[in-house]
Amino acid sequence: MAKKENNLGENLKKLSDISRWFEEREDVDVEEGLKKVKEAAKLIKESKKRLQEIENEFEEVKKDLDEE
Amino acid sequence: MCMSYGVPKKITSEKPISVRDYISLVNELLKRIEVKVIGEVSGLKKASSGHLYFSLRDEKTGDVINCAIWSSVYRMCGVDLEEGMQVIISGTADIYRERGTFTFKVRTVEPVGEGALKKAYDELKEKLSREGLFDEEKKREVPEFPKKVGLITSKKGAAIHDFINNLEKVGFKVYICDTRVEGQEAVEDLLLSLKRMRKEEVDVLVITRGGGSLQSLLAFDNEMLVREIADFPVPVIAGIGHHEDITLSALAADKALSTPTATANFLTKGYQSARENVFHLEGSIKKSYENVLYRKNREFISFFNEIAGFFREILEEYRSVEDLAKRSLLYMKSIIEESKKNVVSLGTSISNCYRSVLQEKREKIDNISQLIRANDPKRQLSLGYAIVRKKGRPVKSVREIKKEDSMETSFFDGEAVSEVKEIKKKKYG
Repeated sequence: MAKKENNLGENLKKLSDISRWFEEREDVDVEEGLKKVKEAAKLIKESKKRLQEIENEFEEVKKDLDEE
Repeated sequence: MCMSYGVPKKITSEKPISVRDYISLVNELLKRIEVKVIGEVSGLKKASSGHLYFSLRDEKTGDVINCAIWSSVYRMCGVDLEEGMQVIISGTADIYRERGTFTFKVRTVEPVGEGALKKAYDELKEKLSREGLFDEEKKREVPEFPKKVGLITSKKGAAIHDFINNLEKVGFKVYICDTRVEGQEAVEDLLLSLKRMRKEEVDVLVITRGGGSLQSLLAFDNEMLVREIADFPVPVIAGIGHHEDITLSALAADKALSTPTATANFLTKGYQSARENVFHLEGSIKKSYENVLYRKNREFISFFNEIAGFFREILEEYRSVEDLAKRSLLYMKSIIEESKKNVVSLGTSISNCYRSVLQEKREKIDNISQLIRANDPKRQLSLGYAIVRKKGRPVKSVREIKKEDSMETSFFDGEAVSEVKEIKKKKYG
């Protein structure tokens, strides 16, 4: 579960890096740019999947009075 | 004034009962009486075990009850009892069998009056601040995308509904621990809840309740609770309303928010921000690459035009060379044709010339032949001429001969040898 959360954070970071990569270059190689776009598409797909609406789950936990 | 608290009106027994049974009966009845009692602390004694014993005295009447507070409860209460201190205690009473003494077992203690509470609050705050429990640098970052959330709150209040209703639906797994959150009595419950939550591998812990009076929020200024919060293994968010001063629990938490709604919003803000970021970054990357393609397309067209121009120049040059070559070939062809003609003409000319020379030579030969023929001695001889030789050599003059020389005379059809008898020279010769 923690891994998935990290993935979302990491995905956003990678997407920001890709966006910056384009911004920082005046001349971008088409093939290299295409590789980045493909990578970004994959990351966006994963991120959107993670951000789609999913019902929250609630579970009640009982206090263990014997532990006192 | 005597007050009724739902205690059975009368219990009778015709048959005598033992002291033990009587104490058991009384204790059973006393156990059902859970009340708060207000009074003044007197005769405070602390045993070596850490338990405290004191009398709670009615200020007006001077009535007293014996009280005992166990060391664990005392620690939990977070109140330093002092002689003469006005307190509200809660708990139940019983009769100590061996001595028959009545003792009120204290479960909670709270100072009476805003002033006392404020004083206790300030002192504890000062103490915990010195220890660094509220230091900003100790605050942990709440995960941007928490998934498993521990929620300590009362199921009865509005807070839980506010929290759940405002929690965005991104698949949170919320572990709820139902807890008392009102008054000093909530301390024990809250401490148990925190202990229970340590067993769940949550990403973040939320302790929340609605706002309330200073009295109702008292539990959240409890020292043990504050220390538990500061020591909790994952970041803690305190969504606890406050009166005048922020509760010490909120100060010790990694993030303090005023309401359950604000807490829920805070937990989902990372997801909302991520959604916006994904949308923004998707657009930005797409636009960037479209620009790249547009630029490259323009570059390609420009390059293509340049190449086309280059090839056009080459083609034009080639055509010019081709024209030149064609013209040269035609010229060469014409030269060859002319040369051919010249060769044929020259051949004819040479042939004619040769023929003419040949004819000339032939004529000359004929002439010479005629001349030779005309001058052939044999022909002359046949005409009557003869050749005279002396010693084999022709004699052309009479001066070459002398008398009695032997002479050979050749005739057309033979020779004769003769002897000179006489020589007659011509006068002019």
